[in-house]
Amino acid sequence: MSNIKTSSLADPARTQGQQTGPGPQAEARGPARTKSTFRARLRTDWPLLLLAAPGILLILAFHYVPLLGNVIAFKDYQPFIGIWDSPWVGFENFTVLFNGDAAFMRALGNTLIILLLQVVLVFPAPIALALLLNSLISNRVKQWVQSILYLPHFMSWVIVVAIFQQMLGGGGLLNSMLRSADMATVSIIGNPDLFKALITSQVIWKDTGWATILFLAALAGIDQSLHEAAAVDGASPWRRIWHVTLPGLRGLIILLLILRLGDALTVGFEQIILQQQHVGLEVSEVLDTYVFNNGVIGGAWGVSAAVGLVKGIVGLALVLGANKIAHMFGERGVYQS
Amino acid sequence: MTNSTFSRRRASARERRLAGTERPMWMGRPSPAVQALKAVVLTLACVLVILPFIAVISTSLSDEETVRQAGGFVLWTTEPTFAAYQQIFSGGVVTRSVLVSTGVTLVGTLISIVTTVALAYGLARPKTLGAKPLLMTVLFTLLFAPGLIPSYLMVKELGLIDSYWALILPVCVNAFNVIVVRSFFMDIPQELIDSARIDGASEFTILNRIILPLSRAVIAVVSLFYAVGYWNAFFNAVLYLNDNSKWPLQLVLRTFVVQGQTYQQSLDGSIPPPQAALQMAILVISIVPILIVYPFLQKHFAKGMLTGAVKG
Amino acid sequence: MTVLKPSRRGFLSAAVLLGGAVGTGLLSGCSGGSSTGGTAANSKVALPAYIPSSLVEADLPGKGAAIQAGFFKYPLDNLRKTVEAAPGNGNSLSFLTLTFGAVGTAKEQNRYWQFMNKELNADMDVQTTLADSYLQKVQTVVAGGQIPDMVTFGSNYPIPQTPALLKSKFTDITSHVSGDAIKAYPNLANIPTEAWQATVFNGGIYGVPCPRPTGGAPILAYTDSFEAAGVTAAPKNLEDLRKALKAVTDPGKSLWGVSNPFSAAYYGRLGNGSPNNWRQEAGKFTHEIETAEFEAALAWAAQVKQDGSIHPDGITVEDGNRLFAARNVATTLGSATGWPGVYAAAVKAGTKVAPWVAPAAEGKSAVLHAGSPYGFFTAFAKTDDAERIKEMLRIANYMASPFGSQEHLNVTYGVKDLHWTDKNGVITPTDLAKTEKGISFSYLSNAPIPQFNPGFDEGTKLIHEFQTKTETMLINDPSLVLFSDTWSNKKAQLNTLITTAINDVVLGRKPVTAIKSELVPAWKAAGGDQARKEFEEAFAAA
Repeated sequence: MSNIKTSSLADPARTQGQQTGPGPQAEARGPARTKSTFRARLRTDWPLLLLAAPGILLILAFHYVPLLGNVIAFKDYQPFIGIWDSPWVGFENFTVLFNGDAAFMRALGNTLIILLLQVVLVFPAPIALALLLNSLISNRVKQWVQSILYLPHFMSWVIVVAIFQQMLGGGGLLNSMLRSADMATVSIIGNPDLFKALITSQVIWKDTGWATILFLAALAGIDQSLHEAAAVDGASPWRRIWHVTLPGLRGLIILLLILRLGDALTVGFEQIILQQQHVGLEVSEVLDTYVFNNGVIGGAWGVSAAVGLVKGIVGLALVLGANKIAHMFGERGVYQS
Repeated sequence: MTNSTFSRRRASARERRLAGTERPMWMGRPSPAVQALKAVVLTLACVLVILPFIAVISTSLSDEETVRQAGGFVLWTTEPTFAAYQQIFSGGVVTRSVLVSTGVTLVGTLISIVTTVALAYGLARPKTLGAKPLLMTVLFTLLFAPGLIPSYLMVKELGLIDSYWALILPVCVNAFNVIVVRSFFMDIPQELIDSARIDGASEFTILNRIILPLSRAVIAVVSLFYAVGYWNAFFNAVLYLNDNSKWPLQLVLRTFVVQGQTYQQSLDGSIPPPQAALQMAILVISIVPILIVYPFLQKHFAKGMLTGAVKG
Repeated sequence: MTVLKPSRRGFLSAAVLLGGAVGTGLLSGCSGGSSTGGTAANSKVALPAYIPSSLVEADLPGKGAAIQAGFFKYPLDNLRKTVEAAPGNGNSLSFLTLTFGAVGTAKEQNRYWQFMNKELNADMDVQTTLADSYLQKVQTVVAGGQIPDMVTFGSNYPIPQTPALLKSKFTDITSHVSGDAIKAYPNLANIPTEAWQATVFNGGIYGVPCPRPTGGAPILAYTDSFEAAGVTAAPKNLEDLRKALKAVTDPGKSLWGVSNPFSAAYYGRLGNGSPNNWRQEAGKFTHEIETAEFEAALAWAAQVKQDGSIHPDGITVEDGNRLFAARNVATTLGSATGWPGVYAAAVKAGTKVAPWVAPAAEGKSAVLHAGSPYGFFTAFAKTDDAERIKEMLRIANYMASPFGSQEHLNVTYGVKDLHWTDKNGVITPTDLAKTEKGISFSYLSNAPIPQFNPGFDEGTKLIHEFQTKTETMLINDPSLVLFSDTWSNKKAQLNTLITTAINDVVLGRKPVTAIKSELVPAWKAAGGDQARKEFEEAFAAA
């Protein structure tokens, strides 16, 4: 038992039960492996490839082949003319993004600010909630609370926005109560200064409960004996969280963070476009709504494809970069070299 | 408490029940202040969620007058009426679409989880031949998505238009889920797999006997994700289905929402249920099946399933 | 955290919700906007002759598209047939269309559908899509290469490059319907010429229109709320209206005067006589936003906001309808085709509602913006088979049978004793009707829509009275009969610019001067000037 203790507390990067992958062990098996020929590897690995085959085929068929259609980003595409026959227009569809329009820069700025809010506030919320739930003694309370908190995930944004308006709007519940108590009303829904805070809280309200599910699954996989060992060594609950629980979650957290970055420039479309007019475009225009208002709304398929490509490339760069940084910290990241 | 070797003793039913009520030895009693704080935070969170939900249910049970007086969102109705639900379920269109959606969800989730687990396991060892390129192939799909029309053309090429398979196959494998499952698989201690291999087990045996039993939590979670995805989908039905009788539940329910927006005076002069009630009833109907299924999955990722796997 | 990749579909469906309905012009479920007809070639097309039907005498006579005919009773004991033989040849015909409501059951179980098939002697494959996804569906189907026999086109659902699309994939039916050729289809001849104008592209007629009434819409007001606030008569001018809105506003009772900035601005625009989209003078086109009336309207609406008379949470049309129904606002802007229904329903429920004519601003005369004469038109897939076209035209002719005919009864109400019963002369739908009748046959074509509110003749009279009284106030949108490629492609985007500016100014985020200094230049650069040029060219050539 003492082995486990020293290693887990002294080296947060390596906790039992959370090995950093079979890589190092595989290396240790012997030099012959690294010099294997293609055929030899095929002989050993064919079951794994067979298992992977159906999934890969489905992805190739329904995702990659249609992906070729994104060539319309460089064409003036009309459905009745067809993908092949539509004329080439080079980078014209991309101008909506790159013409240096002040409105575009503003949209980009808003997007980045909201992204930051999401990474800093929205992303950790389910982790904190999962830890909180995990620390409850009573399983029943934990399960009930969790079952309640995930419900808002299923509401469409139309309904969520309506609910927030009913509660916090100028004609809503909160202000009605303030009015009958003769107090000054608060302007939340139509207030440009509060917009980013409002949409961030909406996302937290809607999705935190659902997002904790994945973390709870990960927490279930952390060996109880580690907690035992740490407690025996006199670690307080906070230290236990820091040295046992969080390291157990770290792989997943980093994975999810990297994947979130892959979608960095998407900060919510439907949610924002429903509420944009209340506060004006100055504070609410983000990349997706800007593109929509300035191009897609006319049914321009090529523009939509062009923007998708740009977002994808940015996302790819972020994923590659973040993954590399994760490797530098000794983490597994999404993929390994 | 437990033994070594790669087989894990499953906690007995009694132990599991008690595991939820007794405090484990190692957990000290938290201070009253911390306990109070926890209680406050959780209660607040629950209230913030429950209150609007009660309003949703109440509104769905309200009639025109009540909705009007409450300004569109009823907190508590004194005279509940099922008119909204009656209108939605009358005629069998909704009932039929429930069958369609249930079928698609069950079949789809099964196929999805099988292919996802297989794919994730196939890619779980970085040294495997082609593992990295295949993984990148999967990862890429998260970054670049095909357009509507090319996807439609593909489905058409395969002859799936107007078929239920069009609701399943194109969305069968979700890259995010694959990557998450793979990540969980990679966390399973290598020793277990090695000792199984020494014992002569094939990959399929390893998958069945070792990996899957230890991955119940993540498989439950990912199954839930897929199931919810299938249950809530409607737009692919718009694109790929021409026959109205094949519409899934969500699409049919949307017709009630859209309908409410254009004021149609009903020909016999009766006042239809208020649109707010219809919308809320739709939400309730969509959620009920998930509420029913969820607890069965929840116990798989609750704490206390694993009572120690490997020591040393 | 996203579990499933957020789909780009969110974009395009929102496009219809926001770009289609929000914007200048009247807002309604099924009436269209502009972008039809007219280059030089188009104006030379001989439109079908207009031969009004005299089948049933209206209780309240209509006049053109602006005043709807009014009926008190369906002539159940005196049904005439307008179609002698079944129109179809027994073929299978596909029809891609949309719906705004519940969809009926499948053909195998749907007796209404089977009945219609028998009546038409055709196997109609009606493919219905929810209105808010229709644009994507149509374009996807077109991309797939197999065009259904009949496809619905509508101005609120502008398919990009409509003229080129029609030319390449659909049939020019000019020879079948032009001039006196329409006499072969008497019900189609009953459709006003303005509606036919909408189907003219590339110098030919490409479809059969679904006509709509063009009458203007009133401001609907809860008179009991106003009387309680001391306002006993309809306001006579814009200033009085503003005072009335302020008087009726009582946040403590959750009641405000008007629901959203756009509606408030619209009251102002009507009161100031602001043009209906475009104004044409001596061949020169001016857009509404470039006029002084528009700015005056916004200035007035900004004052209404400062009075506190605008509901703090209202922004969209749906908000307006919802808040009005919930009696959280005392007035709402009706929509041309929808307001009679709203009005009738409210009165039937016992509420005191009155249609107010838009009051004039000081020194100006108020106007009403005439709606579009058509809601949709049906185009026929390209074929050389003239008999097939004739068959489809005959079917359209059946659908366009006028009020009071046997065919109209069949299409609108279904089978007697199955879908409706005769209760003392009043047609009463059965429960079966609710589930089976949701098949959009009527979007193929329809006769001019009369006002018919069974059991509520009072409403019919009032609506007729309103339409008659205000007929002279109607102003048309001159661009409706002309065609501009830029306008048709960019209209949604330009309208979003305008809506945003209206909200900015009325809510006080920007001063009224921003209209001239910001909105107009931006609008011009984004395609407004180009559209103007194209309209002026088309007008000169006409």
